[in-house]
Amino acid sequence: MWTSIKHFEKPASLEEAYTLIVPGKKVPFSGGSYLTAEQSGEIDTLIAIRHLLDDRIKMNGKILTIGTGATLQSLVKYDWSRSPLRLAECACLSCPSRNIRNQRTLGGEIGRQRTNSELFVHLKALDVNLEVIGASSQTMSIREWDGQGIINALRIDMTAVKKTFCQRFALIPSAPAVVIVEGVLNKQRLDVVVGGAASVLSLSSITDMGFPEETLAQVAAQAAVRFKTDQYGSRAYKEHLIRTGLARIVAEC
Amino acid sequence: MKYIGKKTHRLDGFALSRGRPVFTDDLHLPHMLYLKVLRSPHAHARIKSIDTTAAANIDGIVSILTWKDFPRHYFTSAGQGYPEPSPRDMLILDQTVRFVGDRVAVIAAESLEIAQAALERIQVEYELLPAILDPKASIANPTVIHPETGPVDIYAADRNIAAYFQSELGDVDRGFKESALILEGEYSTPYVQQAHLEPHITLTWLDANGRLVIRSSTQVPFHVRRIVSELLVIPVGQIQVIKPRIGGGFGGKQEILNEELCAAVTLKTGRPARIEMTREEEFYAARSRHPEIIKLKIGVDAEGLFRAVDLNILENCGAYAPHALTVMSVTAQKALSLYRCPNIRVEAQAVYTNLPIAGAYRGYGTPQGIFALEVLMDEIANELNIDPIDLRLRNCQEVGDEIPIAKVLGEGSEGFPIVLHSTGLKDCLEEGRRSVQWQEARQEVKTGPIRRGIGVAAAGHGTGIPGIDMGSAFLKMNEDASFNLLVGATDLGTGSDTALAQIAAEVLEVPVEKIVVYSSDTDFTPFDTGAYASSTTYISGGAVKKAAEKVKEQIFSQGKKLLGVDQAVIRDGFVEADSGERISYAEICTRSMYTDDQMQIMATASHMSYDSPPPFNATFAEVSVDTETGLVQVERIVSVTDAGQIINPPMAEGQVEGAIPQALGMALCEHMIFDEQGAPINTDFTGYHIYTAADMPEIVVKFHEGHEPTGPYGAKAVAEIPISAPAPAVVNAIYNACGVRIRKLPIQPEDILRGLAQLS
Repeated sequence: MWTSIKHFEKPASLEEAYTLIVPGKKVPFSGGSYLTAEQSGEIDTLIAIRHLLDDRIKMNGKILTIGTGATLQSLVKYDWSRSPLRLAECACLSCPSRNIRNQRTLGGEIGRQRTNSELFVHLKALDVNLEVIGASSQTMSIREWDGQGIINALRIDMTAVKKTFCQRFALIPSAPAVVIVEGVLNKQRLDVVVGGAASVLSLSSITDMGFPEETLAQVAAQAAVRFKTDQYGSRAYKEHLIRTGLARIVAEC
Repeated sequence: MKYIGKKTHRLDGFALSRGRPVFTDDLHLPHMLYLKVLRSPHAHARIKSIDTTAAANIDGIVSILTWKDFPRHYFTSAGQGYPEPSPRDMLILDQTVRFVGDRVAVIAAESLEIAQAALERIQVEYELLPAILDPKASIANPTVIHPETGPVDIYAADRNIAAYFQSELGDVDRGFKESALILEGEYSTPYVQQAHLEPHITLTWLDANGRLVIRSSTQVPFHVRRIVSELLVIPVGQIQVIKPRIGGGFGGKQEILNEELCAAVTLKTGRPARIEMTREEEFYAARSRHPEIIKLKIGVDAEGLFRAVDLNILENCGAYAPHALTVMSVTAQKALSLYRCPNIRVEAQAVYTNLPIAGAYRGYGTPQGIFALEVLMDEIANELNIDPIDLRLRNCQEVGDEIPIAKVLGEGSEGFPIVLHSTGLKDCLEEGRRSVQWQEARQEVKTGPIRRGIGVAAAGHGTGIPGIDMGSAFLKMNEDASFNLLVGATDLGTGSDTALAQIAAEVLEVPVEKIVVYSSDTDFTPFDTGAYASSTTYISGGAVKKAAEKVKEQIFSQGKKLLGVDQAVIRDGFVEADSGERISYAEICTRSMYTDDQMQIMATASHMSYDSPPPFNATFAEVSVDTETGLVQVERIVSVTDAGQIINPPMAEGQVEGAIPQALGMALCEHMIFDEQGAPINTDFTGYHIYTAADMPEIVVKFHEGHEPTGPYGAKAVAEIPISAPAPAVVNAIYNACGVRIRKLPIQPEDILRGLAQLS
C-alpha cells in the first residue's frame, strides 16, 4: 500500500524520463526496493525506467562498462575472478538479502548515495565514470556527480586499478557497517574513501607511498568529523576504527 | 516408547510448506473495515482537544473512536490468569498519553489507504508534560506518571513504583560475615524486541447469531475472551476467539493488544474489522523485554560455596505495567534458585517511565537475572582461582533439595514449595566441558590482535506456573480408529500440537497420524491458560495424557465386552483375548457407535500442577575479540539442556537453535534506543540488528537424557531455558579472551577497548 501514488508514467526514452522528474514528487523507478520500503507520502508519480536501462556487464579492451539496470544480484553472479574489483562482495554487504538484490539495480544503489553502502563507497574509491542523462548527456566522475539526472551506465578504466582494499566494522556481519574504509591502490597513490554511519563520505588521496603515521592520522581525523557519537560509540571511537582500518590497508599494500 | 522421543513430521508442516491459508491474515471478509491507530508523538502529554472533523469527512471513513467513546475502566493488557497479578493501570483510550506511540484514536475505514490518509487529518492539541526516561530517576521524581485515582494495584503510584517486593530467607548479614570472599556488581540489560515474523493482527466480525468472533494471532485466546468481555461489557458466552497458525510470539502475543479495539469497531458498526501492526509499531507500540538494573552481592566460603546472596532489582516497565511484578519475581526466583544458598535476600521494584511498555518475552525475567548471576559467578571463580565449571558444580542443587524462594515468590503472591525431583545440570556442565575441550580452550595462549576465549554459564527455568496454569483436553474416537484431540493449548509455531499428538499416540498405541488435533478455539476446545511459561508440554500434555488414558480404558472395556471376556490385552491396535481372538480399535468404535452397547468413546481431562520442575542448561561460548576494534565474533555455541524426556527431538533442537540468536542479539547487537524526547530511533531491521542466518555461529545442541517424574512421560519444558545462558557465556568468554569484564548489555565494543586500555 503506497497511498500517495496517483500516477505511473512509462516514458519512451531516458531523456523523456528526465524531463518528467520533479524531485521528491515525481521520481524515477527502476528496482524500487528503496522507494517501496520508504513509501514517501510526498511522492505522487512513479516514472518507470527499468525498461530503458541497459543491464549488461561488458569488458571492452581495458574498459569495464556496467549498465545501471543490472541488479545487485547480477553483480554477485558475474565472474570477477581475474579482477581486483570487489563488486560482488560489496553488493552482498550492501544488501544482505538475495531477494532484494534481485530487485535492486546498480543505478538505484548509486542514486541513493548511501554512506553505509559498501558498493557505493567502493565505486567512489574506484572513481568510476558515470554516463548521466540530464539536461544534456555527459560522462563524469562519480566523485563530481551532484545526484542530478539519470545514470545510464558506469565505466571503469581497469588500467587505473592495481589493487583494492576494504576494512569494514559492524556489530554483526549482516548489520550496516559503523565504519567502512575503502582503499584503491594505483601506481601513484592510494585513494581512500571512508563511509559507514557518516553524514557524508570522506575522500583522501595518499601520495606518499611510505604511508607516514601522521598522514594516516590526519586522514582519520578528517574523516571522523563526518561521524557523531551514537549507539555504536563515540566519535573518538569511530576515528579509532578509521585509523585501524587504514593501518590494516597499509599493511596489505 | 514408540512415539515419544522420536522424530515426527509436524502436523501443520504440510499446510505451512504449501502456503495454505492458515494465518489470521489469510481470511478476507466482505465489507471488512481497516483500522489504523493514531499514536502519540509525545512521551508524556495531556490531550486538550481532538478534532476529527476533517478526517471524518474523507470518503470511506466509517468510524473514529477517541478516549471520549470509552468508559474509564482500568485493565491490564497482560494475558495472565484471573485475577491478573499486574496492575490495572490502562484504559482502552485515555486522555493522557504516556509514551511515544501511546494510542490516541482509532480509525475504521473502507480501505487501509483511506484510514492512513485520515490519520493525518486528525487535529490533536496536546499539553506537554515532563517525561521521565531514566528508571533511576523515576522514584524520586516530582512527575507522577499515573496520578489518577482509578488504577488498581499500583504499588506506589505517587512514587512511580508499579510493583515491589522484598524478602529474606535465613540471615543474610550473618552469611556475609561468615564469607571468605564477597563480590558485588551492577549489571544491566536492555530493551529488546521479540521480533516475531508475523506482526500482531486481529480480525473481528459478528456471526449469523450476532455473536462476536475474534480471529487473532494470540498466545492467550481464553484470556482474550475474558478481557474483551470485561472491557466491552458483553457476556463471555457471546464471544468466540479463534487462534489460527501463528508466525511467532515469544511472549509478545501474551497480551491483549488490539483485540478490544477491533471488537469495539465491529460492535459499533456491525461490520467485520481488521487491525494489523506495522513493523515500526511493533517496535514501539507492542511489547519488549523489561530492561533491568541488577545489583548483586554474593558471599562464598573459601571453597566457593555460597553463604549469602543479596539481590536488588530495578525494573523499567515503561509507561504501563503489564507483567511488571511477575517478570521481576521470575528474575529473582530463577537467580536465587539455581545454586544452594542458606541466606538470601531480595528487594525488587518496577518503576514507570515514559518509554514503551515492556511485557512478556521468552525467558520472562530469567535472562536478566541469570546474566547478573552467571557473570558474577565467573568473577568469583576468577578471584578464588577455581575453575568456573567446578565452582558451579560445587553449588548445584541436588535431587531432593527444596527451593525455598519458590514458596515466597509465586505468580504475584506467595508461591508453592518446590522440591527438585530431577536435575541434570551437573551432567550438562560435564557434557559441555568434554564437548568443547574446556581445559585446552581455556589455556590457549592469547597473542596477536585477535584473541580467542571460551566461557560458560548455567541457567534454570520453570515448567509452567505452579498452582496457576491449567490445561484441558477432549479426545473422541472415530470409526477408522482415528481420534480428534481438542485442546485449548496454543501452538504459536513451536510444534506443540505435534507434541501433544505424540503423547496421545503413545498412550493409545496408535500412529501419530491417527491423532487429529484442533487447538485454541474458545467455542470448540476446552480451556487452557495459554502458551506461556513453558507450560504446554507439561501442563496441557498432562491433560492430554489423562484424557487418552481414559479413552484407552473405554476402548479396552468395550473391546472385552465385544469379545465376551474378562481378561485381555491391548496390542497393535487390537484388544486381544487370552485365546488369541481379537478385535480392532476400528471395529470397537464402529460397533460402539452403531450396534453394541452404544456410546461415543470419548473423554475429557484437566491438568494443573503445584510443581514446576526446573529444566537446566549449560551454555559454552567460544568468541574471538578484535583487540584493536573491540568487536566480538561468536565462533561457536555449545548448548546442553536438561529438559527431562524430550518428546520430539528435532522440534526441541529447533527451540534451542531459535533461542540462541535471540540471546546473542541481546548480548551483542540488539538494543531499542530513544532520543532525548523519548522517541524511538531504531524502528526497523536496518537500525535494530537481529541475528540472521549470515551471522550465526556454529551451534551444537545436546540434550541430557533425563526423566522428570511429575511430567508426562518424564518431560520438562524446553522453550525458554536455552535463552538465558548464552549472553553471560559470551561475556565470560570475552573475559577469558582479553581480560575485560563486561557488566552491561549489549556489549559495546568501545567498552572493551576502554577495558583493554585500563588493563594496559
